[in-house]
Amino acid sequence: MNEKNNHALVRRPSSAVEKAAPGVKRILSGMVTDTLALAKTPSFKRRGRLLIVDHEEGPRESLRVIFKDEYDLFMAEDGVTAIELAQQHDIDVVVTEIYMPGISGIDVLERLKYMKPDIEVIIMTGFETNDTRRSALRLGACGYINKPFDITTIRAAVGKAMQRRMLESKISDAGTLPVVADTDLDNWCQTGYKYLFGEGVAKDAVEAAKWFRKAAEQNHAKAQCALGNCYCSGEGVTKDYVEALNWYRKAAEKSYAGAEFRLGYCYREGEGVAKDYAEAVKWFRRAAEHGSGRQAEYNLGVFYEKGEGVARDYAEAVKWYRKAAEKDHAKAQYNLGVCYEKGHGVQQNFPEAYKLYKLAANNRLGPFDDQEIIAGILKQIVARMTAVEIAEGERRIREFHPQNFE
Amino acid sequence: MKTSPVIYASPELEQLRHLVAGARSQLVELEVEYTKEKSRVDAVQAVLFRLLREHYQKRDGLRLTVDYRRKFLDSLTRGDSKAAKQAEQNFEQAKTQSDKDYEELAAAADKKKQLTAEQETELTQLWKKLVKLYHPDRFANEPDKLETYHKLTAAINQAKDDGDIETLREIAEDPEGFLFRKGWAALDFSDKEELNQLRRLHETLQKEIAAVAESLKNLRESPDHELCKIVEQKPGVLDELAVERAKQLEIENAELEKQAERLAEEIKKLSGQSTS
Repeated sequence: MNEKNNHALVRRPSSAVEKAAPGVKRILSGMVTDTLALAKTPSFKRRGRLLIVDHEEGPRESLRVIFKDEYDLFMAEDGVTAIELAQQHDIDVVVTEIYMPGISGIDVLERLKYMKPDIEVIIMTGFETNDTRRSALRLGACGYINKPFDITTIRAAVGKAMQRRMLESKISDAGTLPVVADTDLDNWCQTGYKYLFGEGVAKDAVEAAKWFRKAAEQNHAKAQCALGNCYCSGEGVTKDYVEALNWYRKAAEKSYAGAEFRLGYCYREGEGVAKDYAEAVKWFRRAAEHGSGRQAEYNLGVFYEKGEGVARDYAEAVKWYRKAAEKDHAKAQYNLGVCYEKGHGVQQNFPEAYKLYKLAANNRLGPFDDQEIIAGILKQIVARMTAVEIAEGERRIREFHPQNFE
Repeated sequence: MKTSPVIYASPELEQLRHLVAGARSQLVELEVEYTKEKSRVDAVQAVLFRLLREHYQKRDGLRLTVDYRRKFLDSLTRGDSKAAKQAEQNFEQAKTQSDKDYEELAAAADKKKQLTAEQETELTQLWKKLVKLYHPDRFANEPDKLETYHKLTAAINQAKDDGDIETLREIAEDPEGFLFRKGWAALDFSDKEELNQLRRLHETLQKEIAAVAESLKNLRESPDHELCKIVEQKPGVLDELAVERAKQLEIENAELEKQAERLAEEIKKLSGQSTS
């Protein structure tokens, strides 16, 4: 670079240290290299962090005595403090009482899992019921312990949870894996897709899965989701729903909308997990919020309209159908049309219903499945509309410009 | 009859203006990305330095001492007093330089600021303004103004390196005022775009883009970036690593101290004098 460019405002960047004397650079690079080498040493393991939550001092103190030498301990008397502590520290395992004044242990579990999906939570209680056990496990608790507990049981439960946490964190733990540049990971994932679809190479699902796995093991969300799809469909690997869910969850932890959508689908269809509409709604909602697109929005509309997994709520159903309909989803247009015709969750409006039915019937991305049904519906609504209303409906069709999506 | 004026524009000039605008915006995006990542890497290094300085400085001092005493002892054995004197001088120099380097790093670490999300957004906006202001060819033929221009760009670059948003803000909002307050000569920031000037500018911008992209690539492949990624993925890990590293250094330092003492005793036996 010439003299003039060295003085340019936008120039090859250099920090004060880079411009400094060789000795200064040597000191700093020595510190970085030594510390990095230490971080990569398999023997370098930090102590696990355990959070104990109980409003009663007795059990809290017993647990403190049991675990003080093994883990870094954090103690909370209530749910609010527990959540604050988990926000401030990278907690591995939480042991929480279920029945506490204020926020219950189940609420603590739900919030913690929302904040940090990979945190391990063990629930303990003196009053076990099937309902509490079920909701604890549904929300992702890894253990359930009855009070009074014996030392061996609680030690085994916490030890197992801690071990799993460490194992899980191996993938995201750059300390044990070489850090690969994001662009490389994108390329590996892209290569996987090329093999999957036979773009520029011979179609080879096994090779595709290999490339997806390579990037997925480096914590690449898109590749994790793609590998999950391979396990779901059995392309390039043996069909294994549990394994598929495993990869979807890892990608969903990073709010990857595609994986969140697939999780919603698995819960709705009961693939690899027990059918659970509430879970399906939760995942479809996250997917929709993270931009997965019109299908998640349409599915949410259906759940709200049918009251499955959530309380029936037509206004909410209309909201989600509208989002999907604006993105030219034929079924969403049809269902939203029905809401407008019947006045479900929205004021009755025949021209709008007429517009939506017609858009669904002639949908540019694939018309509504059953043309006979929609023709019949249209005939019925036209019979109830005035010429002015029909003209208004036609005008609205002309003015409809679908949003870009996907 | 009144006619509207017809403006003839050189199509090439228009096209070049678009190209230059595009290149500038590409460059600013790259610069901002680089600055953000570099600022995070630097912040991690500053923390690491604060945590480990004491141990490393002690170790480096001890290594120099051991090395010096070995050479000194060797010269004594050979009866070469000149070499012994030289070894002593070299040691004093190296020790002073090493301490100075640590002081310099400590001062740099104290200045280092980590940018918050809002500051990063502001930095993007400031760069956009400053890059618009920037024009490498602007003062090429005016040597009297060139010096002021160099001072201004040096101030901007320094502020960027230190994460000093306040100074960047001051310059972007009122460059003339900044020059005035510094007591530097006035510069003309108006755009005088000519075909040849724009061609040269576009070429320079292309070179800058390639240089910054290369720097970004190097940064991302560096151990500094790797360490930064580890620290960001696992909060608290830097403290733990520093504690562990400090323990290792304490062991190394204890060993070096023993060696230094042993050598001092041998020197005393041979020369009957204590050594530095």
